[in-house]
Amino acid sequence: MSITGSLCRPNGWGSRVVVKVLLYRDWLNIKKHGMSLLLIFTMLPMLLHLFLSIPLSNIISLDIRYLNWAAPGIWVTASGLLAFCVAILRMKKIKHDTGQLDALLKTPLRNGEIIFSVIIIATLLGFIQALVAIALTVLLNNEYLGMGQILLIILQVLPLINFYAILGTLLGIFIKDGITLVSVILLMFLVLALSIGSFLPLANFPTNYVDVVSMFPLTTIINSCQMIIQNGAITYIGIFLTFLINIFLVLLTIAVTYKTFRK
Amino acid sequence: MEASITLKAIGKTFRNNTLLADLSFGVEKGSTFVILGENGSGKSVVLKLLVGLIEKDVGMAYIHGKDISTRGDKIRSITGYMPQTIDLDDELTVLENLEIFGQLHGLSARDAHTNALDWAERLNFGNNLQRMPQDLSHGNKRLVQFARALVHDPQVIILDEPTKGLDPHSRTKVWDILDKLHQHKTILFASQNFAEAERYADRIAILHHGNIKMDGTLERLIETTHGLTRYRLSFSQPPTDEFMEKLKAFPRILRPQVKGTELEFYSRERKQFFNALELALKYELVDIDTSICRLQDLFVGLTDGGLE
Repeated sequence: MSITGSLCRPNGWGSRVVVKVLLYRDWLNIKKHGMSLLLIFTMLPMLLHLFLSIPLSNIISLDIRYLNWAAPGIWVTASGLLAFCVAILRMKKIKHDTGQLDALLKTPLRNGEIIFSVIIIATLLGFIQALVAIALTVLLNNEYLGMGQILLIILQVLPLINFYAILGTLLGIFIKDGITLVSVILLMFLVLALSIGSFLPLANFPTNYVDVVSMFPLTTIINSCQMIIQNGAITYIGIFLTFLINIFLVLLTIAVTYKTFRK
Repeated sequence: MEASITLKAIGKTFRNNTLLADLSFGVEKGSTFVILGENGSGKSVVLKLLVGLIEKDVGMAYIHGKDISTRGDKIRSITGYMPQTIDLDDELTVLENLEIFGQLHGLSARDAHTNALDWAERLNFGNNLQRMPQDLSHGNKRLVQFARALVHDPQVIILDEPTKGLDPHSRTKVWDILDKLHQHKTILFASQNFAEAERYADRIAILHHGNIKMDGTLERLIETTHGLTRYRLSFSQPPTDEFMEKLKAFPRILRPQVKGTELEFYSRERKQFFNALELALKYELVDIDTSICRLQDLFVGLTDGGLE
């Protein structure tokens, strides 16, 4: 019998390798819950379509068919919510539910590497959810989207998914109990689905509210996605601003970990 | 010998409680060092501080010459730590737990797998490798944690009450492994088990209220008692107050304590014992027991107001 391997973190054995190991750990866990995830990936957009888009299509009249107009809302709500939930649950589990944080902190990991692994896995799952949601809405609405349009949609949606993954990671550090967790997720759903023009056109809101909400990069992204399917003019300012906000939030999250991880 | 672990004037307070106060000690490379202390004395705090789970307020700490404040990740890669509480990843199987933690410490996937199987074989939990940690008994979880602390072949092994919750068979196995490893590794462990401390540690430190009361080899610690002996007299009935008053009149009888029908006291002088014995014979004495002061007596004396 012999014990093999290196004795210490070798030179060049950087963050990339460690994050890869953490992502592999998440992959091992995902494999065990493959069926549940598949169910969530398909059910979430379908339920949004069934319980939000279809009833609202009978109330809201637009220049274009409502079901087509609301499809980006389904993509954004489903993928953003999933990324947010994955990140907040994973972070809460690491920080509060088990001794996992101590187990990770006694390895050569840096705080940022733990944070990055959570953000990456949440963004990745959110991205897969977005692809599934796009495919499902195309099928359900008998819609045609060209490859160029799909790429543009992905370009717009990805920073938004990333934003919710980072936000979930940050909030997961603070949220300890189940009631707060459920409240925050519910709040996030309401914000995503109903307040930034995903399912309810902003024209139906008071002007003052619209003036403020229109400045949010997330609203711009949703609006751009809606313009993509209408072959209208799109803007990239939302992506750029969301990207900057994401960088700020990551730095803030890492700073918070240095205050909260090691007592 | 070269120092492996050095702590200098370490201080730590948490929520207005002083956990460690001006704590200093050193552990030589290739030696086994035990920290003995009662509950809440700060044993676990010292160990957690060394692996970076908590941060010190003041003082300096080095492992293999590297400052733990600035070279934390390098230190943790050469350190294996087993905490007192179960902190296995409950979303991974036992094998995956060992592999992932091996890889996080810098092993390749193949080496981590080989080492995980090797430790499972050594510690006899090979048939549990595909099970989830929550399906294991407490003792088996502790064995997996022990294997996880060693899977990357660390140079410094830090263990918090390593045999707590283990059956005697597993306990022996763990100590056999540590006994073999201690020739070329530094082992630091916290314990409340005096027999294990006496048997396996090269040096012993007694921690009380976050400060080292005494440290050294077992022989040196025993020497400091200057031949102190513990005497135990058993009576048919509990010793009377009158007897106790007379006993306390003898000048060098230390810590006389009544435990049921037994009287226990310490003394360095045989003559004092004979005086006490002469007195006891008048009070239905049943049995006598004498023993040279051991580590446990020293510990009790140091942490409970002193023997003198």
